[in-house]
Amino acid sequence: MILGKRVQKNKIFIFSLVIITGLFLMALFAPHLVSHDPLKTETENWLTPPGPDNWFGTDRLGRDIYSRVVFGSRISLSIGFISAAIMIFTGTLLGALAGYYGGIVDNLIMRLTDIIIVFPVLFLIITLISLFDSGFIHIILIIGFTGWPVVARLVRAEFMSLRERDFVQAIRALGASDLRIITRHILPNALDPIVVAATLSVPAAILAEAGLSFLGLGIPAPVPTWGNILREAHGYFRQAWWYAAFPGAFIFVTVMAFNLLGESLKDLLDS
Amino acid sequence: MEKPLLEVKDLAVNFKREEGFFKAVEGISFKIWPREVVGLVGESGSGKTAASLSLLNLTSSRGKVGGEVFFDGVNILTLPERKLKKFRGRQIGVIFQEPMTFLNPVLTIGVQIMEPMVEHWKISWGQARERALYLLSEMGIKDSERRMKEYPHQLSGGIRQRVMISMALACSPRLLIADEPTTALDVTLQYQIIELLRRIREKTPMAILLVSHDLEVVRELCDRVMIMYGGRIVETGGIREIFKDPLHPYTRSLVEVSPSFERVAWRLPGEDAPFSYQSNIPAGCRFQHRCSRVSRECKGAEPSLKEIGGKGWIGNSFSFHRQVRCWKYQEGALEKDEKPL
Repeated sequence: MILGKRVQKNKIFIFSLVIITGLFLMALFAPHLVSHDPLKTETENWLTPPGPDNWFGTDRLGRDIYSRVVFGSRISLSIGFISAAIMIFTGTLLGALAGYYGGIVDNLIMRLTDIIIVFPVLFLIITLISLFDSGFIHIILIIGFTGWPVVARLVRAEFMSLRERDFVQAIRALGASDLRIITRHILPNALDPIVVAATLSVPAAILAEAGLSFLGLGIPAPVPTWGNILREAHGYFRQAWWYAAFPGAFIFVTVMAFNLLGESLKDLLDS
Repeated sequence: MEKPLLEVKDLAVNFKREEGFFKAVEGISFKIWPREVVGLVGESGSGKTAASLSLLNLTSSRGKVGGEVFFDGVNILTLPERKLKKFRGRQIGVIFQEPMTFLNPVLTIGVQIMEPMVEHWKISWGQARERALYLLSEMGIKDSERRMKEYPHQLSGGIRQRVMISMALACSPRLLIADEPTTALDVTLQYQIIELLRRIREKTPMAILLVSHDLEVVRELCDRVMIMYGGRIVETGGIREIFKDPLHPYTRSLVEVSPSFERVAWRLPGEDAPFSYQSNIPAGCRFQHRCSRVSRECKGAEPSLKEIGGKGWIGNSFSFHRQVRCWKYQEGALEKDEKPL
């Protein structure tokens, strides 16, 4: 009721939600939205500028960039969401255990997060990928398992403060088990920051995938992803601005929309 | 003769702080018999809450509890956490002072009342619901069906405290620890909650340990009272004896200013909690800085808790001794002034 009103007033929230919904629908109905087969090469038409037939122009093999960007959204968004889900799940689980139990459990988990955090994330991911080779599942797992420490620290801090609250003492006095205290009593009270963290994890994962693909470590060609297309465009920036501009714009808009959503959600939940 | 329900021996609670150990409770021993209502009275910082929560090892992680607590013959302080949980809520219920902060803001009160029953009795939520509705109506809450679906912030202070009591009574515990159950309420509500506790006391065989700073509340409900000062019990006795003939100078000052017990701090010279850390505890009697009748021997050694007079009786099955911890008390003084109770 009250939240509903504030949601309606928050234009940034609605704006970012509309964009994200649009991107979702695009990924969902990709086959119905494209005019060309994203994998079909027409070498005689290579690097044609945007026009009525190829809205975003064509690439170095004459493939339609518009169709490739639309199909690329499927990979980028699903990697973003699934990796973010892994980050949130792992981070919440470990953060909750560390924050609730404290002591040696906390020490072990926090040293593990420290170890992951001291490595620059991209180098860590690159090292892991060279160990496990790249593929859809591997990319998701690797991005997910390198991203959870930030969430774990946040959830730990929430749990440390909530476990000292009076109502936790009260249900402990009534003999509630640790599992029940953590899942039913503390977690729902810590949900707001976790939701915000989840929203902000999605663009982080999308950027990580784009970065990896750009370096040639992501999803292998010819499957189109936004990062992949950017990589191919590398070297053609001067001849064909459209080659890099459109996938780049989609990454930009998507990441911005999720960041704005996260920020406005934080404002909504805080007030 | 019946065995005591709760027997506390030499209970000590220390909180670890950077400055050293904070001795909240030192060497207190007492017994509670079934159906008995015992008051534990003291000012802020006297250690009464630490003492009552330590009975279930509920002090925060930095609190260390020493001594022995026998509940029905079992030393519950030596039990592993897993077994201790079976006592919490099921054998011993706890009511806390501030019903707003002690209820979970994101769960309906129905869920919060039903949960202990589901946890301890392994009954279904449907069965627990039946009992929760019964409990709420016993607590004098009308429209309990609707109340069950409400959240703590939707309720008034009095209803919240009734909800808290329902939670504590859900599993029919044999001992109820009530930690300042009326302090956060205004006077009319205080009266209603006292009436409610009195009714519960008459209807159930449960024993109650009532922790309060308010001697008037204790007088309304208790059979027997223990007075704490500076982490020690300084006097115990039947409620009527204590009011009629307080022996310890501290108890005397309490009784004299009752019912407005808050004024004690005004009357007594010195700080509220005159010592907190081991190094600050004075040699001799702990009350010496605020006592009007202090003499040299009070500064020498700490007096022990002496049993005095004959046995007192609760009903006709439980006996107890009156005790006082004061150098000034002289054997025979009680007999001399004694008037028939």
